[in-house]
Amino acid sequence: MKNILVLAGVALALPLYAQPLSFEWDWTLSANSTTHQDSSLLGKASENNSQALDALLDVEVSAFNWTGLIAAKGSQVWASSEQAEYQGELIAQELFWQGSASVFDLPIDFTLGKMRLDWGVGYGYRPLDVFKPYRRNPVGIQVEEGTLTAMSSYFDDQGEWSLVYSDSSYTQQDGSQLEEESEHQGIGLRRYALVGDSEWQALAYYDNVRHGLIGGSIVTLLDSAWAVHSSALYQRRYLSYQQAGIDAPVSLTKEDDGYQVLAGLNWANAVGNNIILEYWYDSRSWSQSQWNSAQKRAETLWKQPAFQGLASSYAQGLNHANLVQHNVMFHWQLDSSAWSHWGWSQQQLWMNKLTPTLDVLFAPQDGGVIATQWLDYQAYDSGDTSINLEMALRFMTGSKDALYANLSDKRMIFLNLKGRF
Amino acid sequence: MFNTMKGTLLITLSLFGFSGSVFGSEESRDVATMVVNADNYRQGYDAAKVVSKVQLFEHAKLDKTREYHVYTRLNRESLVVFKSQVEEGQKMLMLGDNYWLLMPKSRRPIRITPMQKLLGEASVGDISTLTWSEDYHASLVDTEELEVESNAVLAHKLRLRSTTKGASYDRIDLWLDTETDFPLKADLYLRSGKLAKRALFQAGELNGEKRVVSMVLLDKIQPAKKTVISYQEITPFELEDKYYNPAYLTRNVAAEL
Repeated sequence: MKNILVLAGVALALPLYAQPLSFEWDWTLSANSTTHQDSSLLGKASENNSQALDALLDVEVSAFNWTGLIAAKGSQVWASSEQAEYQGELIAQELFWQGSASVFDLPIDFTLGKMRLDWGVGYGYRPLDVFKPYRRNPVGIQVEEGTLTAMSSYFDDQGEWSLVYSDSSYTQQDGSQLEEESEHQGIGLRRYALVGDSEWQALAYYDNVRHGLIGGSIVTLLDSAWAVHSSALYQRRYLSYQQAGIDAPVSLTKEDDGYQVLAGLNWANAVGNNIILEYWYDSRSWSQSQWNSAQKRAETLWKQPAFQGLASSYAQGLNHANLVQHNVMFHWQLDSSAWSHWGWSQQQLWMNKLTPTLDVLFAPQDGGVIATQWLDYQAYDSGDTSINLEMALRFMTGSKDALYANLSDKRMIFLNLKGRF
Repeated sequence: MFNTMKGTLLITLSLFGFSGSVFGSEESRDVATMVVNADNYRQGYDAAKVVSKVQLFEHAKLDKTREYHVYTRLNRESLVVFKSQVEEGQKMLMLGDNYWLLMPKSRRPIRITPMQKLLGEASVGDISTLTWSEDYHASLVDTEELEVESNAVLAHKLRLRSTTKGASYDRIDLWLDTETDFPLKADLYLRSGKLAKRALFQAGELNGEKRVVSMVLLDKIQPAKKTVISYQEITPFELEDKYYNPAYLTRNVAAEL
């Protein structure tokens, strides 16, 4: 936090431009019910079902070239489980200053402070989200925090040159051991260019955890309905959980040469269907044979009370950015305006406020499936205030031995009430 | 005041006798000029800031209100800043047929296809495109008498066909006052050939000039729906080039625009 204050002081010394004060408030109440099952990795479920209620209020304040995003989060405001404990947090997700100055006659734009910086492209996974990866496709409440950032940008006719320093250790929320040991300080250079209908991006970044990474992406339009995107990243070092002998727990180790590649298609039609199909590979995740070994060993160890600590260590493989190496994502969303295209729904005006969404994450290596459905209904919207009601269902399923089908959470139902003012 | 570059170019070309090779025929040259003249009643500057208020009605009852600031310039480039409280922070950048959307509180612009831009709340397309001459090719169909505010007005009926991927409508039948080229009425057709909306234009004065001050959109698919777009401010205004850079979307603070 000290560094943020120092940066704030530096920023205040730079010219300020008067700008009106603005507030954007959002709130969410999220009730969820989860069905648990016995898991080869996590052992016997302590209960079959659990319910909880979470709450979030956040506000973005902008004034005098400063932007702050503050969240008040209440986890398990109510919970059915006796072990569950209420946790209240006040989180500064972002607090940054943006301004511009002339440096050697070049107009340079600066960003200083805590900011969520993400240069990734992709829906299911974003390899170039290298500073503090977002948790993806949430069904309940999640609060994303930025990293301490000092960035200078030069905008030219084609795009942007950015020189960035980032420190991801200034976070308030607890993460996994992998997340906490991945906290880094680094410096990098990024080039973004729009050439014709195509967006190109190249990134080189050096930090004290990955010891150098390079990545790139392209997004291009094929015609008015189709677009393709692709992204790749290579990193010299990475942190990963590794299995040793059956008598040794899984441990976090530093490995060499990690890479991730992603390719995706986006299609939309005039009715309002929007489909994204993506494949990505992450070399840092456990392979099929590593998961087979982990599941077999954990199953054996859970049966012996003395080795349950050892058995539970295999569940740490679930903390990797991607649970499996090969991933296929199918996403479908129907725009709320689509209902006006069909005779049966045309005169039901309330249906114009209904947006259904479906995500299917498929693991081709073992046949595992995570299917998530959202149904969003805009209950009220005056322009000044809005309230949305959302129902989300998530199923972990697939072939009998698939990793996703053997997670301890089998089904989740969320009812989210969201407001904005 | 209505001396846009396009208008000047058309007049200059016609003075120098380019009518045959450039415009195909005398009639099509006149039609192109009519459309440019009609555009000038809606926007009229090479670069402008347009403040519009959108009211959406259902069964004649106000359902919701939206406000937009549109910064438009030549070559079909515009930045739409969403100003109503529930959309504050949202922006859409349009560079020809390339579109980006930035959602409130997000630092990740989303690239969207021309087809996706046509979806969603139709008013976004209706408020962001203020010129027909850049997106459509026009031909003269007929001359008809229209009743406008209980007066009979002689109107040219033009047929406009979209020439760009991101045009909000595939075809527009447009009625212009024969004397002034002021737009009176338009039927807006989807790619499926279906009549989607009928637009009625209201004349008024902004900054001492005759302008379209509001447009009423009658939904022909869902007749219970009506949209009224009021143009509250149309002023010549040029944003710095970097505001039309997709990488700059996450930087500019919406409140100052």
